[in-house]
Amino acid sequence: MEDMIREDGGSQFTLQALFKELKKKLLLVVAIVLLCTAAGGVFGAFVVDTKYTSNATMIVNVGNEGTLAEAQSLATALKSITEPENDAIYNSTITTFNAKHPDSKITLEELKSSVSVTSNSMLLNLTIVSTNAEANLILDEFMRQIRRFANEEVTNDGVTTYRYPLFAEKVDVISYASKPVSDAKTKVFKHMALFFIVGAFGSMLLVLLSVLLNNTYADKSSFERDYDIDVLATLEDIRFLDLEDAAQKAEEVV
Amino acid sequence: MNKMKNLTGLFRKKRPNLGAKIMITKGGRTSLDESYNRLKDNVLHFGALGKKVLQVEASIAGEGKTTLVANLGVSLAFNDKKVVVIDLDFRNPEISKVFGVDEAIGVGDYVLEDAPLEPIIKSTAYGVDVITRGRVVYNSSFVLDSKKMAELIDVLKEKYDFILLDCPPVLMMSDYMHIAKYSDGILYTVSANFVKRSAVRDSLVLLSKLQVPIVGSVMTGVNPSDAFYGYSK
Repeated sequence: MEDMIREDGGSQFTLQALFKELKKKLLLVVAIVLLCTAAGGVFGAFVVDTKYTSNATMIVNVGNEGTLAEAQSLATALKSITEPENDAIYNSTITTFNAKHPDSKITLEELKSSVSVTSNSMLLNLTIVSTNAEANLILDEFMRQIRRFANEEVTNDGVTTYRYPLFAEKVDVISYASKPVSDAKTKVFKHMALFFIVGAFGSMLLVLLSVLLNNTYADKSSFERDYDIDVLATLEDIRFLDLEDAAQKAEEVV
Repeated sequence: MNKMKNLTGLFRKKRPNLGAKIMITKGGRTSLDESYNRLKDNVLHFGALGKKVLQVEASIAGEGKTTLVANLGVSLAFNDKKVVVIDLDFRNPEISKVFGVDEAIGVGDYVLEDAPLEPIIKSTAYGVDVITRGRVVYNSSFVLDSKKMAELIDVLKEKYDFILLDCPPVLMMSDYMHIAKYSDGILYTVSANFVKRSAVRDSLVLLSKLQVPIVGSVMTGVNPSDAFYGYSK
């Protein structure tokens, strides 16, 4: 009699079971995805701050005597000076900008994380992505401080010279900071898309977990896989049946 | 992993106790009617082999065993078979409620009080005769192992085409061992999405040690989306 228990049985997970469960819980999956997408929309619209992006370009101009290689190495050196590890330009930008705009209390860390500088040949491309609506004014101030740094003078024994002669009079602004572009419209859709993906993957993971962790028999085939016992009939869950109607019919017969 | 599996129990919807009911109709064409027809045909085949006493078992309470016994009995009666259902679930007798008969005077009275046979067999509106538990039985093994019980089954075998025994759950009571002495086959109930696989395995291991064959199983509480073979229009 004990040979009715199949030794190779016990396997609970099959791809077929997963798809079956997915089909069965499609409504739940769709609901979770829609809920997540809506949550993403609310999150994007009301929680995430609107960001403003502005771009500007500077050039290292070595004049007729200089070579392109010289200009490129100067641009690279200047870019290094604007790295967030070097506080000098950032500090002076903060001090000056906050003095000019008392309402705007931009911090050093904020500025460091919002400004990025890349060098391309003899050009420096500057970008600011900030929650401050006056991002272009901040970037303009940042460029002014770079120029001030390049043209900084020192007086020794009554003689005034440039502190960094290599940069002196060689750094110019090609284009001032552009009008800030706000992501107010796109951020909602961006977060909705992101939450949609999270919702889709999350709900499918839930379904997968429910299949993996299900330690009951859901259907006839799963039982027959484990035991050599015929399932003579499968009876529907009475919650899915119209019991009142069935009872009425039964009474009619009786 | 086992702890995780136990955790899933927290999220599993408990099956509401809707009570056993007669849900099939003569000539009915619902999926449930079809399922009981199918089961009835298998039991008729079992009967054709000269076997009459069917022991209906389940692993735990709430798997729909009593509903199964009652509706199977009605389904056989629709086929003009003489059927008697005996309620041997002494701790939780429900057959009387399902068929709408009085619980008083039943197996307990017949065995322990020497009650006559006639009053314990109750006719029902469904064409099925019923023997309820009757008086409260505290020592079930004493009743089930008694000579009177054996006599009762022998007498019923003469009078009926089928004797359906509604038994207590295998994992809760050891009555299945005593009842097996009278049965020709076991019909095992397994409730979908409800009873744990380990419980099914444990109870089948216990039942397999008996000298009575498991003639088949019935899966109850199946979600229609999990298994349905649509056929009739």
